[in-house]
Parts: sequence; C-alpha cells; structure tokens
Amino acid sequence: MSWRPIVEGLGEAVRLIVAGDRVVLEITLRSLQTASYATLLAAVVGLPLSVFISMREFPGRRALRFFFNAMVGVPTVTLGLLLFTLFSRSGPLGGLQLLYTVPGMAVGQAALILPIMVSFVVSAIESKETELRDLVRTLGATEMDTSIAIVREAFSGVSLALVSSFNRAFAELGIATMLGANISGVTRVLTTAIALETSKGELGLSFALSFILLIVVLGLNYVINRLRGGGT
Amino acid sequence: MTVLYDLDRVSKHYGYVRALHDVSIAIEEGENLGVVGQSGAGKTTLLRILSGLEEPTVGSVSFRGGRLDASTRLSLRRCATMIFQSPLFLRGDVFTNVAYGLRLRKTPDDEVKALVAEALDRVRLGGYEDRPARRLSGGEQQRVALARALVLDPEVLLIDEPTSNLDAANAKVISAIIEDERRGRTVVVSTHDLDLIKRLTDRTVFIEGGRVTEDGAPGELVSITRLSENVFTGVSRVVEGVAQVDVGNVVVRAAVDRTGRATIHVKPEDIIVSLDRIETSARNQFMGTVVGVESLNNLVLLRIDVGETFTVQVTNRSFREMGLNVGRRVYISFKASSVIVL
Repeated sequence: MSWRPIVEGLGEAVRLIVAGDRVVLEITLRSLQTASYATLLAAVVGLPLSVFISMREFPGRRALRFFFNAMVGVPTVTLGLLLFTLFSRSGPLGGLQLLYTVPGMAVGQAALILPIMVSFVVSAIESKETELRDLVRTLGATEMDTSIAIVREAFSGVSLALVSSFNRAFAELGIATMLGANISGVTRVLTTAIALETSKGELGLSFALSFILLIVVLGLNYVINRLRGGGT
Repeated sequence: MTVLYDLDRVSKHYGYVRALHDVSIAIEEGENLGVVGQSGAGKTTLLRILSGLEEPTVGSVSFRGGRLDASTRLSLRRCATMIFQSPLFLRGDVFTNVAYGLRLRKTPDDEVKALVAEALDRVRLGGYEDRPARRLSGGEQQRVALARALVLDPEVLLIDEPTSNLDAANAKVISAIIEDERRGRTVVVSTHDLDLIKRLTDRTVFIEGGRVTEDGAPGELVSITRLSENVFTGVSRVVEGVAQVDVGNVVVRAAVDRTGRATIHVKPEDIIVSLDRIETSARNQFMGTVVGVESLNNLVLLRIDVGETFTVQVTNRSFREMGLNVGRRVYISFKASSVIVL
C-alpha cells in the first residue's frame, strides 16, 4: 500500500477545482442542494417540535426525548432500507414518486437528521431554561416573554444543531445510495460518486472528490463559526 | 405602617427535601429585613417565595392583603425584583441587560436610554452600556445585576447573598449601593455579612433547617452574636471529599462539598486547646499563640493567633490547670464536621 492515491488525489482535486470540471461541479451542487433541502425540511419540523418538547410538560415527553436521542445513532442503511420500502412503486408512499429523485433523497436525509436537530436544540434550550427562566421572570416576563427570551438565548446551540445536521446530510452515503441509486446526472452526489469510483479502482478520483467534500464542509463550518462568534 | 407580605404557615418541599417548614412572618411596607442562616437553611427559598418565583407547597402568602395565586404572581413579579447570588446575563451588552425589564414593560425607547444611564450611574458604572455583560469582573457583574433591578424602580428588592462571591473591596461597594437604595423601599436581604445586616436592617430573622428560629433586631439575636466569632471567608476546593478552605493564613478543612468562595464559622466551644500536638481524629490542628484572654462567668474566651485569630471557649478550671496565658504557645484542634459553611 502506498501513499500515491492520496497524493494523486490531492493533485487531481486541485486540478478539477481549477479547471472547473463540469461533472464535479454538478454533483457537488447536487450534494449541496439535497443536504440544504433536507436541513430546511428537518428544521421546519424539528425546531417547533424541540421548543414544544423542552418547554412544555406533557405525558410521554420523556419517552419522546429518549426516542430522538436514541435515533441519533440509527444506521443510515437501515433508515434507507425502510424509506426505500415506503417509497418504492408498490410501497405505501409509492404514489409520491420520490424514489430516485433529489427530493426523495432530501426527505430521507431529513428523517436521518431530525433526531440530531431535536436532541441538540432540546438540550440547548433546556440548559438555557434552567439558567435564565427565573432571571427573566423576576424582571417581569410573562410565560410568552420567557419562551421567546430562552429560544433567543439558545441561538448558539440552535445554529450548531443546524450546521451539524447539514454536515450529516451532506456527508452520508447510505440513504443517498438506497433512495437515489447514484444515477448519473440525476441523483449522483459526492458520496455516491466516491463509492462508485472506489469500487472501480479509481482511487485518485475518489480522493479528489473526498477532498472537495471536505473543503465544502470545512469552508461552511468556518463561515458559520465566524457568524456565531459575534453572538457569544 | 401597612403589612406588605403576610406568610401564614408556609412550607416548601422539593421532592423529599423540606426547604422551608412552617414559616409565618409578616413584612411591613418599607421594612428592611435581614435573613441569616447557614447555607442550605432555606434563605434562598424564602426569597424566591417572596419574589413570586415559587409557590409554597403548604400555607399561604398574601401581598398587600391579597392572597397570591398563579394569576396574581405575575403582578407581584412586576413590583418585586429578586437579585440572585450569582448574577446571570442575557446575551449582549450591559445596555441590553439593564434595558430588558423596561422593554417588557413597553417603556418608550428614549426613556429606556435615560433610565439605563441613570441606573448605571447609581451603581457607579456610568458609561458601561456597550460592554459585553458576561465579560465583566465579578464585582461589576453584581453591580449590573443591581442596576438591572433598580432601573425598574421596584417596590420590593429581594437580594440573595449580594456579597458572598466577592472580595472585600467589591463587597463594600455593593453594601454602600444597597444602603443608598434601600430608602423608601422594602428590602429583604439574605447574607452572612453581619456588618451589612447591622447597618442595613431594622429586623433580622434567623433560619435554621427551614424554620425561623429567631426574629428581632439584629443586635439582639443570640444566633447572630454567636456568629460574630470565628467567621472566615476564603476560597474552597474539594480534595478527597473534604473541602479545604484557604482563608488567607490557614487552610481549614470542612466536611462539606463546596468549591469557590465560602464563608465558614467554627463555634468557640467546638475548639479544643492543647499544650502539645495531639493524635486526634480532628482534621484541623494549628499551632499558635494566645493573644487575648477574656473572662465570661465561669468560662474563659481565649483569642489564639494561628495565622488567623480564633476565639476559643474553655472553662475556668482548664484555663487555670493548663497554665494558659497571653504569650503561651498552644495547639487548637477542631473537627472538619464542626466547620459550618454559611
């Protein structure tokens, strides 16, 4: 085993980026698009749900928290398989025609990252709640004011949850493979392309795509971190 | 004088813990009440009930003659503001924090600006509006916390151990501010700073194990007089389950789980004097010199300098038989479990 594929891959990555390779650009953008849809979808469902779980008392609250915490570790292929069955032509949700489409992959990834988002946001809100609830109340806050203040204070944790969820969706392989099937020009994304090139023995290209994936993740995290930095 | 608060047989339980037990006190309008007691005695719980943050498990609380319930507690919180032992801040600068309560009350913007500036002046922090609140020093944070309450001009100020996390210089500034601001206001302050209690309050209650055990002028309370001996403040860290409180010139071991600033007290009658170092289970043993002798009926109070000066109570007979006197070199010993954290 030599280091050659890694070195070649690095060189290839630079070359592909500088040359603005059309195919690489296309699958990178598709990865970004899919993960963005997934994060958006998970946020629309997950944020209100998190506020509800963390700030209201109701029967089954603990069970729900436990469920989301446990689901953080669900294997992507298992979830992919489940959704594949649901989305397949003869499956219960076959009519939606989501299988082998970008929205289909996005829905799958949203299901994958929802638990991450809910767990992060719930614990961010709860840590702020015990800390600041009494403070804002003694200063005269109503229940509504208190909720608003606490969610605002939890901003840093919420943005961390969004970024982590996006990263997870962007970098996962199992669901993209099961629900997208790596169809060139339709559902091929960075991770499925890497898996394909590796199985073909094209380690250089695999590493090149991996480096691009890493650059996007690191770049995005850097930007978000800078934005978050102002708030603390 | 009108009665502002009337607590009738109030108890507060947290699970199996009885934080307050059968407390009945009345507080008059404009009264400055001190609350003294060991740490964990129920001082904070009493303040939280007076502030409307907590409701009693048993008993009733009336404010201005009206019994408090869930619907009236918000209006109580709008006129009674609590200042917590360790100040907490919302994200952002000092201005955002001090203005928060005014914003909730929908005070117009230009008025907010003027009121915040004035409140900061009152706590001697004029011009601090743009500083990030969470990066201020401990003393400054406590003063911003005061300003955040004072800006609302509350009828009632409930102040929980305002000086216990501060060094002497900062504690002095805080005490001076409280002394200025208490006029024309009902103030309830929990503290173990006896100076503050004596200067500030006309009446003090002593709480022990959740019960009010004494109630009267601070100078007359036996528990308080007792507390004026052997009180030391220092920094505690826990080593193998035992707190080591560095009070300056000696490190006192206490059987409590406390880190950070702590004020401790040892009863004069719990200290043993010996002429030689003794083998003992007492975790505290110090060598020192007798620097003062004071006779008290058939007892003698010795002042012994071991780096810090401890007051030790011995019987007349021990005093004579041991040949104790000023200048005599002695050892003092006391158990870690005799050290009370205030």
